[in-house]
Amino acid sequence: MSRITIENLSKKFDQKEVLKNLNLEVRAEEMVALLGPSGCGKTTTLKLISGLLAADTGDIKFDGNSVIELPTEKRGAVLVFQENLLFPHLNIEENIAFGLKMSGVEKKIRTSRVTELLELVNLPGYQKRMPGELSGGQQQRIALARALAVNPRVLLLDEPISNLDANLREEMRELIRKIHEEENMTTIFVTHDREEALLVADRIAVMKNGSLEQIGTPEELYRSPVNRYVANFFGQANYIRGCKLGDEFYPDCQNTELKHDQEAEKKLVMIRPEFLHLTKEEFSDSDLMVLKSKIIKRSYAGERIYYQVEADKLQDPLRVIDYNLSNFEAGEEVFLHIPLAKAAYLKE
Amino acid sequence: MFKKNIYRKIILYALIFLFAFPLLLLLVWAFSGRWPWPNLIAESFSLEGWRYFIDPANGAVESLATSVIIGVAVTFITLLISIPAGKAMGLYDFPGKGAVKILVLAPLIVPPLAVTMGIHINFMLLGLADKFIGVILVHLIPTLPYSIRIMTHTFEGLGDKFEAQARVLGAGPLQRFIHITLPLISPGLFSAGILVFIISFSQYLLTFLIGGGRIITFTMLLFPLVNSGDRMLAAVYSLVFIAAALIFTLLMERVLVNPAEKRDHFYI
Amino acid sequence: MFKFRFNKWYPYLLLSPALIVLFLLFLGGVILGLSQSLGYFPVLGLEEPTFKYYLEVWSSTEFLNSLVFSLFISFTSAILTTIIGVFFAYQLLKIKNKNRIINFLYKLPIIVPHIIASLMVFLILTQSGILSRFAYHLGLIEEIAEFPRLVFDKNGFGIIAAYLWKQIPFVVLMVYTVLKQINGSFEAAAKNLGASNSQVFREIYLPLTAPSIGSAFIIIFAFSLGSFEIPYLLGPTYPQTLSVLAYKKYISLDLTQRPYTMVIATSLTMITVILIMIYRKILSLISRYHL
Repeated sequence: MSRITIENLSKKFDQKEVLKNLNLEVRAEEMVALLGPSGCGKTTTLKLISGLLAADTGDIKFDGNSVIELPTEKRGAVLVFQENLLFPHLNIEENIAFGLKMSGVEKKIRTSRVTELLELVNLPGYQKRMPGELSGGQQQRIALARALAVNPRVLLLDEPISNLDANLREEMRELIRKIHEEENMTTIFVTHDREEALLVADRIAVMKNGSLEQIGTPEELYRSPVNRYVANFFGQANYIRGCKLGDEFYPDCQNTELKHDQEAEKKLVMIRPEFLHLTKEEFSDSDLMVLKSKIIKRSYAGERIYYQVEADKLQDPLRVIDYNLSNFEAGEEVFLHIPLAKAAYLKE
Repeated sequence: MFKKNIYRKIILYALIFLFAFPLLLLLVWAFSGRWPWPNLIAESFSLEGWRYFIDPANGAVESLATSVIIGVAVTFITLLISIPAGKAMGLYDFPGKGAVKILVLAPLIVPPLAVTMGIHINFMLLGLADKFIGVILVHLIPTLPYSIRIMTHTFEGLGDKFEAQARVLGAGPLQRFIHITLPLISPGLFSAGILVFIISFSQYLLTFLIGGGRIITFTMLLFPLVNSGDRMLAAVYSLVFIAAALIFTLLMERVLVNPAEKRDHFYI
Repeated sequence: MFKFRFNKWYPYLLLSPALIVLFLLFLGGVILGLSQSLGYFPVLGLEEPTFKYYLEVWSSTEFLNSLVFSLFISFTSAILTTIIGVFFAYQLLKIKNKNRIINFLYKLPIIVPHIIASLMVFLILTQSGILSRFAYHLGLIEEIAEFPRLVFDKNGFGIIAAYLWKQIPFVVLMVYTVLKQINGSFEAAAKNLGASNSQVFREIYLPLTAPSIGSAFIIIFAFSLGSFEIPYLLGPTYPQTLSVLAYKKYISLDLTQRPYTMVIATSLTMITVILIMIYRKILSLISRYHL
């Protein structure tokens, strides 16, 4: 299983830049999700890694060695397409054994590997069926088995789950996780579904317009996104503009001295609505920023309550999700507590 | 509504009759002995025409074999050229594609007579005239447009994803062609093959001009029979021709073609 | 980098065998025919391009009569074929269980070549043909000579009949394929708005199939114009179609006649090319004003 390094990778189609200087590192035996809206270049990235497309500039390395000159069939980067593309004229056994047969593995070994893989994907005994007889979910699993059969250096999955019916998705997610853990396969999979990425991947690479915005564990991306795009991608967010001086944060840089202070950095603070607290009484803590506020709107949603509050010192209203079910009415005066430790400082 | 349907059916069956009746007439003539005007049925029936056909001295069976050999060779070469051409036309966009499309289809419209008369002298100079190879080459002109068009449609329908999938699984160019592309295009390949064979099998003028009377295909014998008005013999030869073409078609279809795939290709 | 270039040239590489054959045989034939018609014929010692053969041929009565005869036959048979073919295609659309009919229509014209189509017309329409015999039994005629000359006649009746037999199935299938793809809900919507069956045909199906009907017309027109076997076997000794005229001059073995022959053959090519250009022009005009 290989470590994949992508350096300054660019690709144009008819003058349209689909990938712009992409840099990405995937560790050996890691599962990384490429997440982004359609057209952000994620499928193109998979095709470049597999060699089906040739890059305009940049390099791709497996374990530190460039593979950019290697033809697709010799790279060992197996792409499983969205449409699963089982060869319709071959039965399941022949489909799974296809790659092994091409590299000249003898029949006996092929047969036993097929049996093993069919068990792994929970379809034992399906050797002699034809692809047309299988359901969409089963076909997808066979496609996965076929890719695993050749022991690829990296497994590339293009939207492996989103095409399936809702009830099959969880099963497929678990299967992909299970395979990843049993086979220790370096895996890169493409998805436009945030939840899918959060549930399956070790790390998520967020892409936008052909470049990488941020890569990190699900928690890192949720808690400390580097910009608004990533922050919004992973849930609701409140933004507070202000100045940072040392550990102190001043909303709207309201301290007049700050405006002339060279060391004060202009920052955008992002904090998730569920980290905010509302109380009737003021209490202070060094980590907390406390603002006098007024409830504008209250929406009851069972186990939680959504509030919109307007703080005296801030321009934009903030959203608060309260799981404590503290009962405030619209119009009520409250204190808003902002735990700055849980906030992320973004670049403007 | 019900009445209307009946009238439609009558019209259609009349059409079918109109097209099937001449074939029936052909069949009766082929077995007739004496059949003078104005009799509606022959006075006597005989197998004389068939005996004439089988008699090796008349060279009919031999010419049939010549036709089949040329037809098979033309089919093989045409398909060999059309597979890559159809792939290029069906899967890729490239500068000049419009012009290539016109060039490929042009032989359907431009009279083959004019083309053949134009190249004849060069065939003579190159020593291709009056030879098998010359006749085979000239048959490529009317057959290529059809087979390239069918292969283009086939590749358009298939796309290049299966090949890409085979490629990432480690299959080299030759392996991909043999194990993936060839089996997947085979329905189109066989419809094209049938059409090409029959077009070659039916050629008269091109064979006559380039073959110079040395290459005797079956149509070389049939044409003078029709021209001289020998109805009985002409009917026998025609039936043999139709039977041979039909057997070839059915054989290819039964063995190899999925009937749903072969429709929208026409030949006048 | 090499790989990128390779990709760019790959389609041309795939096309190269076809292009070589089409350039050498087809375009070569067309161009050689053209240059021979212009009097460039090194084998005969002719090397000075000239229009004199064109002027001579194009002003001869023989050629002009052939031209008129050819155009008449092609036009008549193409018009009749198209009208009848469209009618049957529309009828075919309306009935169920037609796979066998379609299969029959599909195979027939492929398997029966022009020579045999000619023979069948001959068996039916000559004065001693089956139609004449029926006429006798119905009391319409009493002697063989009373039956009209329908084959080898100056009106090209036999030729047109053979073309109809061969080409109607082609038009039926081509138009039927397009009709079938037209959404049935157009028809339902039109009927709902009070259109009758014939109005539906005129206002919905006919305009939508017009381009393919036009293509079918052009193809069969060009095909009839260039075709040789049927007019040779069923046509009169005078006038002859252009293709028959070219053929007769070609096999006369008098090589000095060759440029004249090539003028006739090239004229055929020119007419078909002009026809297609006119058709494309009309089609683009139609699509410009209707869309």
